[in-house]
Amino acid sequence: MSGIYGVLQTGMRSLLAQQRGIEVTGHNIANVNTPGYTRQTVTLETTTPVMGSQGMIGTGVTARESERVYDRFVGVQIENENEELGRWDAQKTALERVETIFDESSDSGLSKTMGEFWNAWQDLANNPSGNVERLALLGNSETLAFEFQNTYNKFSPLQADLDISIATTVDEINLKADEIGDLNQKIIEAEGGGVHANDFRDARDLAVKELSLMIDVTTYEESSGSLNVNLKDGSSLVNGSNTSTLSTMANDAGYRDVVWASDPTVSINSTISGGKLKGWIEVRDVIIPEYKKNMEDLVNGIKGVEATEVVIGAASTLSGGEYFTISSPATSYYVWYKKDGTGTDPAPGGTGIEVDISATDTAAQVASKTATAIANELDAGNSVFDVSVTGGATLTIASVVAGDVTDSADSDTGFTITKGIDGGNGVNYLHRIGFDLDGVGGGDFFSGTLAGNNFAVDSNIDSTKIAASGTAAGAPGDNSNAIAIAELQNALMMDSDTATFDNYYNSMVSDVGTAVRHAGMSYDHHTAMVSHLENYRESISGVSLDEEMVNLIQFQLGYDAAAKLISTTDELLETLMNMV
Amino acid sequence: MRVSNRQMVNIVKSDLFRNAEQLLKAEERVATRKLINRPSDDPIGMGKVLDYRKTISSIDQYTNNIVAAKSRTEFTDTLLENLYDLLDQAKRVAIEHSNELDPELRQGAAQQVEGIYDQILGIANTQYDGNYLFAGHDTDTIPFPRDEVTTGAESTLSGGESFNIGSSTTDYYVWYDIDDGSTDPAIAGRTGIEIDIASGDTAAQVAVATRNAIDAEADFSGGGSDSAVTITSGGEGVEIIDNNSGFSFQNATYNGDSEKINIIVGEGAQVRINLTGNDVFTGVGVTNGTNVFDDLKALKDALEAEPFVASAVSDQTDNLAKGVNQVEGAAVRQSITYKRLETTENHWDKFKNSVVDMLSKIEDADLATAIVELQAQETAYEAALATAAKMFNRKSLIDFL
Repeated sequence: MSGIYGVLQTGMRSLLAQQRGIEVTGHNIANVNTPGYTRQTVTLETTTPVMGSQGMIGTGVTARESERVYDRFVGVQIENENEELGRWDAQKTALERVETIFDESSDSGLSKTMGEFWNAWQDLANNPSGNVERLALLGNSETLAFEFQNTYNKFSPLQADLDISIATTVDEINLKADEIGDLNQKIIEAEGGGVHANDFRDARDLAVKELSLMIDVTTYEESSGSLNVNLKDGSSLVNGSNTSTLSTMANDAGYRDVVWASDPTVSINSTISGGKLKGWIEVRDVIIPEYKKNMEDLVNGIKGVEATEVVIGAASTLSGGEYFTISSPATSYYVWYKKDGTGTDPAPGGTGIEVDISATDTAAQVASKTATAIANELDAGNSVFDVSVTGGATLTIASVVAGDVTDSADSDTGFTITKGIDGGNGVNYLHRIGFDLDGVGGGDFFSGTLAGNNFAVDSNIDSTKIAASGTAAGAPGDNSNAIAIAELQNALMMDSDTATFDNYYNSMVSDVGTAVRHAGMSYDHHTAMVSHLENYRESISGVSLDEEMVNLIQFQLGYDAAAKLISTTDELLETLMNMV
Repeated sequence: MRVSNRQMVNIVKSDLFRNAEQLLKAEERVATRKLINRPSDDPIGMGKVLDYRKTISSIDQYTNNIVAAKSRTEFTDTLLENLYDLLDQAKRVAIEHSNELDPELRQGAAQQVEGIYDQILGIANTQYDGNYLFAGHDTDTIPFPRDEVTTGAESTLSGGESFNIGSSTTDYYVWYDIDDGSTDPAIAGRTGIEIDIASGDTAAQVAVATRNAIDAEADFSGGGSDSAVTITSGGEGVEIIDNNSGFSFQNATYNGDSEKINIIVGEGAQVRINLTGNDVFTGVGVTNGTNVFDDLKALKDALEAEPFVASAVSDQTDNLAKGVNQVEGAAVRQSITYKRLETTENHWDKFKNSVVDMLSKIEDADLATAIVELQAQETAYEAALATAAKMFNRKSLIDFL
C-alpha cells in the first residue's frame, strides 16, 4: 500500500517500534542490580516494502522480539570453575576448623604437653625415689593422656557437622534440580509458541550456576530449549522436566553417603568430582580420618606394644610336631608339641622347646604346659621371654629383651598367633620391665586407646607404682629405667623408625598447615577465576546505565520524530481536505 | 570493552575485601608480634618452630638436670674434703704414736681415733635430698649401719659380764646372768638389761637372747644374725663400749651396692654422678683400695692393745695412706664429673641462645617491619576506599540529560 495513508501507517509502526525499544530499555534499567540478569536488546528491522509505480516503496520499521545478549561459552566456564570453587570453599572452611584443633601457635599445645611428659621422666631420674617427682610425673602423664584424648575427640563433632552439611546440600541439590526441571517446562512451552523466554532462561542459568557450586554438573541444551543436566559421571540429574532425586544412606563409619533415590544402597561418593559435596566428603572421609589415624599411631607408638598372644587351640586339634616360633634379637626359639610321645621335632632352626601334651589335655592345660615349658627353658636361665596365661587358652608372651614374637611357619591348625606391632618399645614396654618403689615389676603405664575414648594413665598406676628402677627389685636409687623411658623422646620410633615422636607430631601439624594453605590458595585462585569470568560475563551481558540512557534518548527521539511524521501527515490530509 | 554497572560494583567489592584481608593480617602480626599465628601461615616454618621449641624445652630440662647434679657433686666434694682431712689426721696420730711408750697417751690416741671413726661414719651416712649419698642404688637404706656387737663363744662368757649401750638420751648396760649365778655389775648412771643364759647355750642362742632383750627396750632395736647383734636406735648415734672381753666392737659393714647413678645431660648422653661406699670407704673394686673403717678399727685396737706392738700401729699408717689416696682418687673423679657437667652446661647455654635466635627469626615479626607493613596496608586500604567513593560519586549521563 502506498500513498498518504501509507505514510500514516509507517508513522504508526515507527511509534510502536520505538515504544518497544523504550520498554526493553526500561526492563534493562529496572534489572540493573538483578543477579543473573542478562540484558536484552530489541532488534529493529524494516518492514516489507511495496511495489509502487516508482519502484519499491519502504513501509517503515518493525520491532522484532527482544534477545538476550549472552555468551553461552562463558556460562559453561563459570559452571566449571564454580565446581572447583565450591569444593575448595568447603575444604577451606572445614580445614580451618581442623587447624584450630592443632593450636600450637601459642606454645601451649600437645607439643608442649609431650615435652613436659618426657621432662618429668628426667626429673624422676634425678631423684628416683622422690615423691614430689613421682607425683609431678603422674600429673604430667595424666595431662598428656587427657590432652591427646581431648584433641582427638574434637574431630568427631567436626565430622558430624560436615555430615549434616552434606545431607542438607543433597536436599538443596534436589530443590535446584526441580527448579531447573520446572523452568525447562516453562521454556519449552513458551518457545514452542515462537517467543524467546528470556527471563526464564536467566532464572535457569542462575539455578545451574548455583547447582554447580554444590556438585559437579555438565549441561547441554536440546533444540526444544530444554537444558539437560548430568553429573560428570554421565548420570542424569535433570532431563527435560524430569528430575532424578539424590538421597543419603548410613555408611559403616556412621555417617551418610550420597546415593540415587532410585538405587538407595549404592554410594556414589567416589564419583562426585566437584562442588561443596566433594569438598566436604573429602574432609569428612579422607582428611580427618587420616589425622585421626596419625594421632592413634602416635599414641600407640608412645604406649608401645609389648605382648603377643598365642591362642592354643583345643588339644585335640594339635597334632604332634606342630610348632610356633618366638624370637629375640639374640636367639630364636621354637615351641613344638609332642602328643602322647608322638610327633617329631620339626627342627626349623633355632632352639627347640619341647612341650609334652596328651590327647586328653584341654586347651587351658596345653596353654599352661606351654607357659611352663617356656618359663623353665628360658625365663629362669636368661630372662629372654616372659610368659603368662590369661583366659584359659590364651598365652601371652612378653619379650623381656627387645624382640618380637613372629608368626609360625606352621600355624595352620591348633593355635593362632597374633602378631605384635612391635616387640618391645614404648613407655608400656619399658615400664613393664622396670621395678617400682616397692620392688615390684611395673605394669602397663598407659591403657586404652584414642579410638575407644579411654586413653589414660593405667588405673593401677599411683606414685609408688611408677617403675623408675631398672635392675634389682627394691633399689630406690636406681634411675636407669626412668632414664630409658626419658630417652624414648629422642628415639626413632615412628614412620618405620625414621622419626621421633616430636618429629612425627610436628610434621603432622605442618601437614595440617599445608593442607589449609593449599585449600586457601586453591580457593583464592578459583575465586579469582570466577570473578574474572563473571566480569567478562557482566561485560557482555550486564546492564550499563549510560548505555541504556543513550538508548532511551535514541528511542525517544525516534518516537518524537514518528509522532511528528504522523502530525505532518495529518496536516497534509487536512490541506488535502480543504481543497475540496 | 563494555563496562556494566554490576561489573564496577563487583570489582570495587573484591578489591576492598582483598585489601581489608591483607590489612587484617598485617594488624594481627603487629598485635601478636608473631609471623606465624597458625600452622597455615607458614607450614614449614611451623614445623621448625615446634622443633626449636622442643629443643629449647629439652635444653632447659638438661640444664635443670645438670644444675641438680652440680649441686650434688659440690656437696659430695665438701664431704670428701672433710674425709680427707680426717684420714690425714688419723694417719698423723698413727705416725706420732707408733713408738709411744706411755699407755695413757696411747689410750688418748685410741679415743681420738674412735672420734675420727665416728665422724667418718657420719660422713658415710650423709643424706642428700632425703637419699643416702654413698649407698649406690640402695638410697633408702643406711649404708653403714652403726655398731654391731658379736657375742663371744659361750664358753668365754662368765657371769656378770656386761657391755654398755647408750643413746644421747638414755644409757643402758647389758649383762649376762649365767644359770642364775651371776651378779649385776650395777654400772652407775645406767639401766641394766639382764639376759639369762645357760652355760650350755650356743653363741647363736646367746645372740638371740641378747637381741630379744634389747628389742624389748623402747629406745633400741636389735638385729643381726647368728652370733652377731646389731643395735640401732631411732636416728641417734649409738655408743657401744665393750666392758669385758667376750664381746667385740665390730666394724661398720657396707649395706649399699656398687651401682651407678646416671643423669641425662643431653640426647643419649649420661654422666655418672654418684660415688658408692665401696669407692670411698670400703675400697672394694678400687685399685690399691683399703677399707678405712677396718684400718681405723685396727689402729684403735693396736693402740689399745696390751702389750703394745709398735708394728701393728705402723702397719695402719701405710693402710691409712692408701685410704687417703683412695679418697683423693674419688675426689678427682668428682671434679672430672663436675668439669664435664660445667662444660656441658656452657655448651647448652650457648646452644640455647642460638636456637632461641633461630626460633625468633622464624616465628617473631620484626616490629618495625610489621608496623611499616601495617602502615602500607592501611594506605592501600584507604586508597581503595577513596577510589570506591570516587567511583560512586562520579556523575553519570543521567546528570547531564
